[in-house]
Amino acid sequence: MKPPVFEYERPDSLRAALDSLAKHGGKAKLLAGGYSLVPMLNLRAINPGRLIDVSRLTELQYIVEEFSQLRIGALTTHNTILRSSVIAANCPIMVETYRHVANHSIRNRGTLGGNLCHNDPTFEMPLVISLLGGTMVARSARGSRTINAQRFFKAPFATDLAADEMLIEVRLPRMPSGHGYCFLEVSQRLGDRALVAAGCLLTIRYGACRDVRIGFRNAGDNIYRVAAAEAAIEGKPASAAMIEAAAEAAARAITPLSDLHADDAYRRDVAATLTRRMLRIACERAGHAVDG
Amino acid sequence: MDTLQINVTVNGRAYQRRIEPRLLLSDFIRHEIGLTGTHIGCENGVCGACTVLLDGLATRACCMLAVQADGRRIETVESLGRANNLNPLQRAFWEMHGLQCGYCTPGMLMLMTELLRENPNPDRETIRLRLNDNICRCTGYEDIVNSVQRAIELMRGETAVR
Amino acid sequence: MAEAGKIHSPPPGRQKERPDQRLSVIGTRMLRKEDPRFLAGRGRFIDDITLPNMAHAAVLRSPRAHARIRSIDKSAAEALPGVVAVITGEEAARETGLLPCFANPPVEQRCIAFGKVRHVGEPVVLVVADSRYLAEDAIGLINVVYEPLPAVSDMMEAINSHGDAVLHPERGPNNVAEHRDYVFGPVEEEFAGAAHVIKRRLRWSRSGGQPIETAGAVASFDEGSGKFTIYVNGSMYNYIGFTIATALKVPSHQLNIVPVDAGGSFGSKLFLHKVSVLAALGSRASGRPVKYIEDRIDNITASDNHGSDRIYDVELALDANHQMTALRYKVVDDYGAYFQYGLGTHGNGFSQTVGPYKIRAVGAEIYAVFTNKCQQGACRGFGSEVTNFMIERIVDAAVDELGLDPVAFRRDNFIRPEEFPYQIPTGNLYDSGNYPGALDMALEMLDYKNWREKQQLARTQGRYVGIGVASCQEKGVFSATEFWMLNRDPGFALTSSPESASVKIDPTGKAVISLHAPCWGNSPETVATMVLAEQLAMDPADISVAYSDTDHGLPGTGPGGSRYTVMVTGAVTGAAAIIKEKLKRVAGHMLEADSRDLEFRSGKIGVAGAPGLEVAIAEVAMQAHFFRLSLPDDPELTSGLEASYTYDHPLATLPKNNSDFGIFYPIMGHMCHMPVVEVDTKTGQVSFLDYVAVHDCGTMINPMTVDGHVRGGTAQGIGTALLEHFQYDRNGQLLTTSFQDYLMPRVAELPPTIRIGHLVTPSPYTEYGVKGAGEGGRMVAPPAVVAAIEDALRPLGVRIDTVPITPARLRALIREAEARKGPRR
Repeated sequence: MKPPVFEYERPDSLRAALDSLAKHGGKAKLLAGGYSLVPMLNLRAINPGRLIDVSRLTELQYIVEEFSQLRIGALTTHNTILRSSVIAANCPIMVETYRHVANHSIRNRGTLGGNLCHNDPTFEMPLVISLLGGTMVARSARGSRTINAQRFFKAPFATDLAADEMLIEVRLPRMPSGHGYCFLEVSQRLGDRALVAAGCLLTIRYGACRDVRIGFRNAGDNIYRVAAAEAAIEGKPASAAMIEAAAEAAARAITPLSDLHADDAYRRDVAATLTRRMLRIACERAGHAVDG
Repeated sequence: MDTLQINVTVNGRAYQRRIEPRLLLSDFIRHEIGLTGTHIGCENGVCGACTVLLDGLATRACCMLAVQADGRRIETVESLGRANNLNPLQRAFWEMHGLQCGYCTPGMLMLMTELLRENPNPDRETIRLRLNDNICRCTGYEDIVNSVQRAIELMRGETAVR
Repeated sequence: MAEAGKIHSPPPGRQKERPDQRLSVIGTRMLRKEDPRFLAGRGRFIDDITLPNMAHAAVLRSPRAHARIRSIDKSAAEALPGVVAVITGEEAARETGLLPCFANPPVEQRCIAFGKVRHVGEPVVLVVADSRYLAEDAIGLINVVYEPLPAVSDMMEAINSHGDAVLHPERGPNNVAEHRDYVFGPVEEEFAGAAHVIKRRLRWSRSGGQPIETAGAVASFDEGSGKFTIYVNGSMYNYIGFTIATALKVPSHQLNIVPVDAGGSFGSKLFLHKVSVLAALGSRASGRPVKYIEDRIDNITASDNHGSDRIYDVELALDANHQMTALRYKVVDDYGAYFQYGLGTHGNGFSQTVGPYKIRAVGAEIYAVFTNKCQQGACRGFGSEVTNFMIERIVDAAVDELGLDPVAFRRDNFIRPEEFPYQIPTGNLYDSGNYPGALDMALEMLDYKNWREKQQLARTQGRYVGIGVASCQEKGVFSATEFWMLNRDPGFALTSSPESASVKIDPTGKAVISLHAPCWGNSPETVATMVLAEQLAMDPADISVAYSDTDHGLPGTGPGGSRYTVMVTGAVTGAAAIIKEKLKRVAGHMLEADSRDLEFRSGKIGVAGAPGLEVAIAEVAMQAHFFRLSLPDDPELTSGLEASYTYDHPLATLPKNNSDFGIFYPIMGHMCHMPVVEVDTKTGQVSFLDYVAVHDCGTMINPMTVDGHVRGGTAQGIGTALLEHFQYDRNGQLLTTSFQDYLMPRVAELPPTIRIGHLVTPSPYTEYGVKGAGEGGRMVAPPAVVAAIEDALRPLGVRIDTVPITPARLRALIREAEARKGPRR
């Protein structure tokens, strides 16, 4: 299992990387942490003519806290994000999710940007970024643009990035303090690809659930947020009945697939269970434990 | 076929080599440098047998290109100790039967070396959580966990070497 | 017919070293000899072997499950710079013969597929190049045209395959590799008169050893002498290594096989014929040494060592007193594309086919079928772990259906401690055991009563906690006669399965033990050192161990079947006895004492009862090596100090007929496992709250290494029960082609600790009373874990008859059960 031949370059600046992407476009792949790319090279599942190694562009490794948003450089490693007190304070759902993201060794070099751009349907971070309402900043030699999460995560293993574009930053709106959150995952082993993963965010204002976000991963082709489940509780008080309604709505809305590890009936079933469990936890975290 | 020159420090010694970009770091360490203690289990990034430290961080050498190690510092199992002069972590594995076939062992040792540098006194749960990174097919892991706990004692100088 | 029951005139044993003697080294937790080099990263594994001018091989793997090979265009591959040789199946068939097969009649398998491919991953072309990278580049340039044939993936369909769907038409019109019926004891009678008959259908899915190191070989061919040298991480080279020479079409004395450290095996490296022949073929064709190491895909798809893959329909007969009287089963076993060990994995089970119980009759109907999958080989238990699963599941079914207590029922049906040696209906013998003792030890260690109370409490809280009980046998030390009755005509009816050891003591008194079988992680150096140190009262630090190649090898069957520790202990004991005699003779002469009055103590040989009258082994050795003229004038007394001993099976007898296999696997260990699990009924996930494992492996040479095997084997058994599965689709495509999808337990999947208890019933037949311990954990954990899950879900009435029981499968069973009973939140 050895890689095929390819051209390799290591540009020393973002500018140089973008120029190279502009020149080579679809025939080049960006190499960041390598934990998605190199195994695929070893399998000869891909045969890129050229690798552009951007793993040392420290200019894209940062976590910056601004008044209304957090900005994370695309080449920031998972463990850096996991350990960041800024992230812990502002997006604790990311920290909770990281328990399930690959493993420590992979998180040492794996980058958030690499993870999001690979968009494997079992990866958790695309879901979390979507729930957080994240925006991706893409840059090319032609200029910059921002892409919201819904548009960015186009299809399994595909994003909205053009061949000459590179993801350089992820922007997350600040979450209100005291917000409720939860991320749960069912997998066969701890750290495995999710059989089903689920996340939610909400705030409780005057006893009512507001700004509810519920989403799943590996519960269908490109399911992120399930509007029907969110609508079931948006504006309503936190209660067992409301949670049940959300669970049922989620189970109906998703279109899970069967694969060698689990069938669609299982995924639908588990999505409902995870909805119940995560909403309870999120409500409790938002200061409103649910009885019954 | 393009080759590139890289400069790497391995176990404290500087090396300069001309290699193909596609050469995996695992193969570079084993065959270019000749340090065969780092083993290959899957070439897929799953088993962790090939774990080395790159600038102090646990890294799966089978998922990295050697060119990416240019200018970097690598530590392999050979840096820990010699067969007749094992370091406390190795000594602890010996005392506590932390290995059977020995194939996954170098990866385990490097993974735990990183942990103990980060945190000289992890509890059992923390050790298990980190150990979950790597697969062992022989031991059932419990003796590896016990070995790491024993290593903590030895490193603190708490008990006499057995 | 062999009547079940205590044997009143047991066969005489050859045991020289009694179990109940005072020992100073054996029985201690001596630190392992093997460890320092492995810890320092200085092991010598197959990929660490480098020969000058060595080339590298890779294999083009068949993408098809079943197809004729129409044409192979290798011109572009051969033209690639750095490629040294490209060898097709047709070319290989001229240079090499069939791979060894122990079924009779043999099933034809070649190192490279010839004419047709029979499973995904089968080698179609061998490429030799300057590097593995280049070899893989060349593979990408080869164009193979296949003519698809119908692929068979379902074992039941395979029974009725016909025409082009038949994998081996020369064997018959369908894909039945073998169909045998066995009757051991009065089966019909017992079922006819039974008060209760319990039935179950069980499914044991295909899993495998999957060591972290794959199989590989480095071969070189010396044009000058016409001799091959093959380094390989396999075993049995000093037993049947000559069959590799036959496959290479060279006389057997023109092949030297050299062992290396193996990174785990669990049976899968028992006999690595294919990688050896491929590497050797490559080296002869290219004129250079050739290294062929399977990568992980090569290994998962074509290791030739997948585990058992069975469907059982089993029935149990009980009398009115709830005594089990007879067992009857029909099993279909999916052997994949070839049949290298014949029905060996069923014969294995016949050694312990009644488990620890007084069942008097067993009937077995066995179908072995061919399908388009990697063939089965050896996997920890060699098929008898599945027999154990069958027995314990039907026992639990009887308990369930008759409303009995799982502990009391087992106890009432156990063979009693005073009934040994015990003959079972197949003719095999259980040498010793104390099954109620093991059960009691486990109950006490677990605090079973307390857990039952906690279980009750948990149920009131809506939690599903379960306790599993499984009592199983671990056969150790197979005799070659095991294979006789599995073929219609035994063919080569061998009866030897020995193990050898050679000991040399040099002039300075240091010892080197040569072993004739490899290290798989089973601590052979430590065991051999401890036995010699005990025998000679030597410091273990003065002993080192070497491994003999076939040029220098003595008969050695190697590790497998939980035999090696027993057999190498016998071999070292035998060699030590010879050396001790010589040492005593020379020392007696030096001390002017009668050699019969001498004893070994602390590295010295001295007169018993006379502390000052002694001489160091080192001094005696110096004398023996260099001072011949100072020794007695006896032509038998030659210079030097070395001995070899070949230890044959301590207790084996000839099979009599199809209903009486004789004694073929009598060194019988026993285990009792009690896991405590909690099931998340909403997700089907299982977690462990406690786990007690009681093992009886007779006298333990090194309890530390025994515990290691218990934990490792149990971990693999848990994997088999919950996670591991080679999944093929209907077209024979393997879906689990990497460690991403073939799931083995990591630390998080295992109990926080496995609490181990040791019960010791020494064998009356082996030296020091040692029994096998290597396979036991995997041979009992699957039924124990499944029983625990069923116990947890007893309020729902869930029955589990399939392994692995994955979360999705378990959740489906729970949903069905809830639908029957009405849903609970």
